[in-house]
Amino acid sequence: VRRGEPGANEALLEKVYDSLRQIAASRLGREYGRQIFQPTELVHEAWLRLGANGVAGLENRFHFFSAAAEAMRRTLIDNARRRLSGKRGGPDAKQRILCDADLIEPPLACELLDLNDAIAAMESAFPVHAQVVKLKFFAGMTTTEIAELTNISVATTERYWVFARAWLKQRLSCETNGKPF
Amino acid sequence: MLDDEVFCAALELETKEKQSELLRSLCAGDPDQMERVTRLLDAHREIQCSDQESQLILDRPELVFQAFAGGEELLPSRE
Repeated sequence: VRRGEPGANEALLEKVYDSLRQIAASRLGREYGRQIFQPTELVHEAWLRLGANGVAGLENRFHFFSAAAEAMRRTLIDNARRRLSGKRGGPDAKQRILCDADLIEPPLACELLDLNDAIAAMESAFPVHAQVVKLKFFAGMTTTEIAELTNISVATTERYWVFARAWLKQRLSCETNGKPF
Repeated sequence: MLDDEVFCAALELETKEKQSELLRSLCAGDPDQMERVTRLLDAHREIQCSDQESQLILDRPELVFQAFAGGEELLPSRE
């Protein structure tokens, strides 16, 4: 793309779209023997977000997967906020048809928003740990893949993950119980 | 030492007592850090205990993606 080769931009966008599809498919996948959702909408929204930030400006695989995780995060958070706003009588509340899943989603949406806030707080104190969390949770990467991507050993990446899990659990417990962190 | 370094050093030890002993040594003069890391170790132990079926949202990304990915629900597949 940087060399201005014809068709390179289209080829890159296609590759990016495929990668996002793979991430979404690995996360949505199959559960209880049935395929639950098609990832099309999530992938498309994430792709638009990535495109808006300029895919061609991504320097390497690390930048790409970080941006992909961020695009997925923003899409999921926006959807969770919209869902909550609908439940609380927001603009689209009347248009929604309640189903069994709606009964469990409001707490899940709150949990996701709390997790998002906790990750944001972690970013200022432990940015590398927060990055590992985002790559794992939102981009579906394994510890080994993150280690390869970030040039950090697998053992160190695993230590970052173990610490991040404990830190986030502690933070989320404090928020649930109304205690100071 | 930073909190994560103290935390990881403590995790190398097998028992809670040995971990507390290490924390007293590494966090000498910094009771706030000792308290922070102690709480992190407690949180880690809780995660380990409930690992069979973790309730931590961090361990349930599939649920989050399924709930908030948008898109349409498919009919159950015939498998």
